[in-house]
Amino acid sequence: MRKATILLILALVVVGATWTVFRWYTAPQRAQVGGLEAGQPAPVVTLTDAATGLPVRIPTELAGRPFLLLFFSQGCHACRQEVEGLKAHLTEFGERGFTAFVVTPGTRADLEYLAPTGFPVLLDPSGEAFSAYGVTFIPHTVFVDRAGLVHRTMTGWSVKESPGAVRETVTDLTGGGGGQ
Amino acid sequence: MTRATAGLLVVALLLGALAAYGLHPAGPKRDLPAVGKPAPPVALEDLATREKVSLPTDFQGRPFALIFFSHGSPPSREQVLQLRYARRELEERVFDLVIVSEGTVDDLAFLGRTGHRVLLDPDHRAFTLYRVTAVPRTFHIDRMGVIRKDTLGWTRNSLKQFVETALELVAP
Repeated sequence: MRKATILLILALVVVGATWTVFRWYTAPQRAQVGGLEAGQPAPVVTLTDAATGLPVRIPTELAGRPFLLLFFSQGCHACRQEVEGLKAHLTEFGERGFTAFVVTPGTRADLEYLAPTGFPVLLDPSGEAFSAYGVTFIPHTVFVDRAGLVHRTMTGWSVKESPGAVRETVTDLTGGGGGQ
Repeated sequence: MTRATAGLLVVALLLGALAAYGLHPAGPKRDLPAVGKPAPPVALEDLATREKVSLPTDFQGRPFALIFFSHGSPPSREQVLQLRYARRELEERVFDLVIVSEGTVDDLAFLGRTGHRVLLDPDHRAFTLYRVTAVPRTFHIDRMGVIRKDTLGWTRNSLKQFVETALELVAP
């Protein structure tokens, strides 16, 4: 019986690994335009905090604190899906000393939709941040580390498509423990 | 190896294959749109004529670009505005541009002024079928209804590449 269990586990591992490699080689080819590379300094932009109306200089004013910027517009279904997915993690993010900002052009529809979500909202009516961060599609998420460097970017419904990846990234950026 | 062990190994391999296929994120999604595969079929309403258009069958024999659009996306608006200048040239070369819109009031007001052919997708059937999780997303589809290019995003420099791909599909 013990031998059979070992064989079963081995078979699972071998077939699983083979399948993963096969799918990796045969994955759909999608060309992606623009965006920042990991390790690049996050571009410095001045946005407006929707709650206070005060200017916020990103990433300078957040030095030492990791964060993400979710580039969003209410008129985009995929963006709303992403906000809904991220919303469930907001409290956990806060406890870890991590902030999830939504960056939006700031139309009335944007603000009405975002107000009850609990996200800190940064307004970018001129598109300065969209342009500086090379946003060529939305939703687009940029994770920035404590040093102000781009850690990684994510495309589309990151939370829905790969919920583990978002949590792992936040854990990486916060050192696995609580916030500072 | 006894017959019982060999039998057990075969069962284990089958179970493993089944589990790996089911658990892998890409496993059960057999109809993922992909380069080299047929474009998933879907019927949508034409904004101008209010008639149903079946994709890709109604374009059989004509290559076209299927562009997933949202008014809320600044790069989407940039793409659609830039494509106004290429549309006539492409249509003369027998290449069509088809915009698939979420169908919000803002979408329609904006697209109505561009002159593009617009198909409405208010319940996101096509968006879901083509796995569009970010916009703009562009599929270049050949005269046989096969996806030849899948592009996410748009910059000011994307038009040249877009037209080049279109003309490659027009060429015999």
